[in-house]
Amino acid sequence: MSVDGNLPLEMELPGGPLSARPLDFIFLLDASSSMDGAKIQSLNQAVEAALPAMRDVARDNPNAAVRVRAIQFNSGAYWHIPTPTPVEQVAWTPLSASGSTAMGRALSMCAAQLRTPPMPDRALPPVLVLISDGAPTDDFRAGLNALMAEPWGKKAVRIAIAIGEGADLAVLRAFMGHPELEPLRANNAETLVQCVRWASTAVLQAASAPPSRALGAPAPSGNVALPAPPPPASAADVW
Amino acid sequence: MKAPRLRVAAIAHSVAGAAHIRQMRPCQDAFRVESTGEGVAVAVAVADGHGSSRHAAEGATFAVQTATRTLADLHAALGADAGTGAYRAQLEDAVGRRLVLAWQDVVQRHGSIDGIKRRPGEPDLEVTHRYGTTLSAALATPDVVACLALGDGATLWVSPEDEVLRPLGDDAHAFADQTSSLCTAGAWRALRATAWTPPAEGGLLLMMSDGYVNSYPDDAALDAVARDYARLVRARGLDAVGAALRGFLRQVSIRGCGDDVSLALIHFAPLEDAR
Repeated sequence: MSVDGNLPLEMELPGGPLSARPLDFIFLLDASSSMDGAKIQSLNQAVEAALPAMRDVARDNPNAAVRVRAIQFNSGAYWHIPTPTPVEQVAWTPLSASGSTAMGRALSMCAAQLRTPPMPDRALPPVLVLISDGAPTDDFRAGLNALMAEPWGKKAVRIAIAIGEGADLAVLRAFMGHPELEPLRANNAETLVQCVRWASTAVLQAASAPPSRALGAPAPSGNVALPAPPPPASAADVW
Repeated sequence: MKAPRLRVAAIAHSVAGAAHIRQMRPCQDAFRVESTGEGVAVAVAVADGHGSSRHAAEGATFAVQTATRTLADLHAALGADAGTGAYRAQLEDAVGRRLVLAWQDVVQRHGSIDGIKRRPGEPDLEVTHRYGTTLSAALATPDVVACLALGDGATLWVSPEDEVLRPLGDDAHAFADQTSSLCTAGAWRALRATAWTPPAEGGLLLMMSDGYVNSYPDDAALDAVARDYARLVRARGLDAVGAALRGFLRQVSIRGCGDDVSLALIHFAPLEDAR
């Protein structure tokens, strides 16, 4: 008998390769002109700073295969990380800011990737993190409808982070669709780091092993039971 | 009474999931194998308690006990010579409803004895929801395979020609972390059931919890698992596979989805080949 798993040496495990369940984590990032300067710089730093902690969460949950993608939106929407990339292999290329805020287009692009296929049936609920400092300049409602028309879009854990005072909170609330949780508020670089870190670690952890439940049974708010978010922005607001 | 042409034997096991062990949560799957009909038949069940249900482990245990008892009673009531049509009619109607109501009655009584109270912040649930579980079960005789399922487990049949069939299809309502369950009102309406005559050359029936299913990328990969088990049973015998089963399931959970994993195998062997 072998030590690991007590398999008899002469009997191989039936079947082909096993696989952890894919967990897609998608950043939707505002790179419009209002983000230019300190905000986009802080956003780049916050995402980059969150990656090592995301890798730690992934390492502690080997049965979830965390795959990262990112969409940036300004006058259009573009895949910044187009292919689902194992979190261990993600290297962040900084965004720059210009143009308007095609948030609706970004949601539509995301929706197309949450269709099955390409999404596998046996995935874990995806995590979508929308970060914006303004209001959409395109048809946000059409994008949200496209997202919610996909079963994985509806099932996704959707978190929104508002940067500064100019963010459209009503839009971010509609994206989250969460009865209790409000969009996180980041009014300076420090709180933005905290918010992105929470979304990319605590939320990722919660989504990596959601307990099964009966159809029709009361669901946790927001698809997956989430830990408490970081405290509201400090008084030291700079944006 | 007809002379049996096949010998029927079964093995089953459940293991705690790798993720459950990391989080210090108990195994919430259960299994049961019960000989019936003076040893010529077996009733087998596996169940997967919902992680969101506080008494899921008990719910799964009650489910496999209730299912094997109900199927053994069905065998006794119909007699050894009943055809598949009689089994199918019973499964699709009275038996499914009886099974669900019997399980709900058991958990209601357990809940009242246990004095279940709401914890702070816990939603106000029906008692049955605290015991929620899926179920796959089968009665196997030399002449009949009668199986039923409720929820997102998988039931696979491997023919003597290594063709893999899904006699019960999939739970049409299951998606992501949601599944049909014994705990919902009118649960028997979501129950899938069928019966057929096993071929003279035998075959293998597999019933697995979703922890096994979710450890493979797609149905084709799961079919390969089923075929390999059939080959292994033919080559080494059911007892040898039974001795290795716990190790197999642990490997599946460690290297797969991390959930609790259960598997039951029912082997139909031509009498001259039976080991």
